[in-house]
Order: sequence, then C-alpha cells, then structure tokens
Amino acid sequence: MREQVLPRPDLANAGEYDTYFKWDWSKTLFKAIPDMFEGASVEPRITRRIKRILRSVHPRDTPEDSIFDKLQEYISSAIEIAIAMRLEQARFVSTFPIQGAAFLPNRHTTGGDEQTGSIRMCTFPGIIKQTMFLGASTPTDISIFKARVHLESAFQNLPLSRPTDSEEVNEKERR
Amino acid sequence: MDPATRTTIAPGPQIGPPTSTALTGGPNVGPPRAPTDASRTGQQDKRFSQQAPQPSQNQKRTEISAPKRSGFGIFGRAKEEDDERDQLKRLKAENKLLRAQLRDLEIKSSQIGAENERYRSSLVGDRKINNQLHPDSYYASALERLSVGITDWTVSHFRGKHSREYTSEMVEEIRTGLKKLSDANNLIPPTLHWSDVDLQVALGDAKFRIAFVLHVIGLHLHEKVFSPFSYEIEDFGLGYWLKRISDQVARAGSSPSRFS
Repeated sequence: MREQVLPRPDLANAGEYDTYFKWDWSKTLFKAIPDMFEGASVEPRITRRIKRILRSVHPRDTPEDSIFDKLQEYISSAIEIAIAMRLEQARFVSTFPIQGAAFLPNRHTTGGDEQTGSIRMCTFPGIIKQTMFLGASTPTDISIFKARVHLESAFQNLPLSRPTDSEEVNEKERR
Repeated sequence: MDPATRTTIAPGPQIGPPTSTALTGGPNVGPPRAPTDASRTGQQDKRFSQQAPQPSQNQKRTEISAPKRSGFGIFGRAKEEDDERDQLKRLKAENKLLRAQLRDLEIKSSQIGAENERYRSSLVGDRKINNQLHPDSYYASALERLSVGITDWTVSHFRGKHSREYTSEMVEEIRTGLKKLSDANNLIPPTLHWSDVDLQVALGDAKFRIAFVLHVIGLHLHEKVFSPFSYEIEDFGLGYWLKRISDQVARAGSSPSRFS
C-alpha cells in the first residue's frame, strides 16, 4: 500500500501555512552579530593590535605575555556589551572626543579631578543612547556612560599644540 | 391727682430707651397707651410743656437711669453673643472647608511629586523604552565595571618606574601601531598619532604613561568594538559614513545615487 505524501511547507513559505510565523529579530541578530565580529577570533586580533603598541610603552624591557591575558578578558567583556547594545532597538553610539575638543560636562568626565582647559586625552569612550532613531544626535540624547577624559591642566608640561599649517592643508585636501 | 406733682414725682417713662428718647420724651417712651384717652393726652402735653425748661434734670435722670437700662443691655449682649456664635460657626465651617482643600492639595502635591520622581528616575536610570532588553543602568554599570577593570589592570602593570629609556625606534613602533587604525580608516585625525608630543620624554612620566595606555585601549574599543555604526560629531570612524548611507537609504527608501 502506498503512503500518501503530503506536501511539506518549506521555510520560505512558512508564513503562508503558519499564521503565527513571524520574524524573530532578536534570534536572527543573536546569530548574525557574532559573525560580524568574526566570532571568537576577534578578541585575540584586537588584543594583538593593542599588545603591539603597549609592549613598547611598558616600563620593563621584556613584559611577560601573560599580563595581556587579562586584557583579552576585558576585550571579551566589551564585545559582549557591544553585542547587547546592538540587539536593542534604540541606537547606542560610541564617542571618543579628540584633542582640543571642548569639555562637555553632560558627555565627558574627569573622574572627579579638578581640571581645566580643553580635552587633552580621552581614556575611555562614552556611550550615548539616541532618542531619535534616524538623524543626527540631539541634546535630548541620553548619556549612558560619560567619556573619561583628561584636560589640558592635567599635563601642564605637555601643552596642547594646534595643528600645523601642513596638517590643516592635508585636512582640507582630505575633505 | 395733681398733674404737677405727678410730673415731678412720677418719672413717667422710667423704662424708656436711653439718650435721645429720654430727652424728646413722649411717644417712644414706655408701652403704647390707648389714643382714646383724651384727658391723659392733655396731661402728657402739659407734662411736655413743663419738662421742656428743665433739661438738666432730664440729663441727670438719664445719667442715673443708665444702669437701669440693663434689660435692653442683656438683650443686646445676648444678640451680640448670638452674632458671635454665628460668626464662630461660620468660621469653623470655613476652617473645615479650607482644611479639606489643604488635604486635597497635599494629596495632589504628593501625587505630582511621586510622578516627578518617576520621570526623573526614568530619565537617569532605568529607562526602558521600546521594550528595551536591558535597562540603561545595566549598560552603565557594565561599562563602569569594564572601565574600572581596565584602569586597575593598567595601573598595576604600567605604574612602575621605567627601567629602560624609550628610544626613537620604540616611539616609531607606537606611532606605527596607531597609524594602522588610520590605514583602515583615513578619517582618524592626525592628532591621534601624537606627532606633536615628544613621546620619548613624556612616557617617562608614570601619570602620562598610564593615561596613554588607557587612551590606546579606549581608542581600540571605540574604533573596533563599540562603534561600527557610531554617528557623532567627535566620531571619526568608518561607522560615520556607514550610518549616513543607512540613514539616507532609510529616508529615501532606496539607495541614493551619490553614494553608489
């Protein structure tokens, strides 16, 4: 006796058969976003890049490689936070104020130190949640985490130099 | 009866109202009498004619009889007391009404205060709009932990007194590492290459060195982890252009020709 084979709906037509089928955006993004960061390989890759610079900065001649293991853990944590923020419908924006930018108390912090002048160095990026999904940032944006900065007065012996003429020309050409 | 004697003896309107009525005498004084009694009316007229030239006596009588007007005084006082009681009742009712209004206002004030507090907390802390997966405070505390952890790690490993001199080759290597970010993204401003600072000298200072290490890590976090799609004035990453393109597409509904 031959069995009657019923046609099975394929995934592309799932919506036609299952009235409750809907696109689960969060599951899709959970799968897609780690691929954007190339999975687990992204952590050692970023750590390697940082390590290459910091090896030369380290006060000892030959810093041990093991000291950077902890840094890789922190990079991993940062990626987890970034993925979680990507999954939100609101747009989270990272800011990294450059040298000479004006200090904005609602966006930047010196960590309680009394400092004056323009921004000399940013030590940790700030995160802003934009209230309006499309368009440029507005004053109503919510500061989730203020960028950590040092102002000019923190390094009195390192006066903030203005861009040289040649740099300005290059900048104009680039624009 | 001798009317003259009567005039002097009988004070007549003893219980008359005070002051002017005593002086004017007659009709206002005492209980009303029957108008039909003509002889009495005549006597009264005579009495008036006799009383007229003796005002001082009447004044005296008035002064003397002042305490005797106590009947009317009691009545007046009773009336005054009644008025006072009425006024007191009115004030009490008004007070009650005002107290009720005050209670209402206090309730309304506390409600508005609570609402205000709710708004403030939603602005600062656990703001969850559009079915956010985590409240803002979750991200704030996670980033705080990350920032503190990286700072601790940096301080513990880069604080020590430098046992070597920073050579020009080492500084060049540092700059090359920073430039690699610019190779991938030529929007990075040249100031972030630290070409304006003598790093050989500056890195000898532990405070600058720690800040510089944090800066390098932070720059990589911003450029490589947090901001593939960032879009800010300070932002100089590739994300700026990606975001502009995606915004343009979203507004226009199709890919704009100038970006193709």
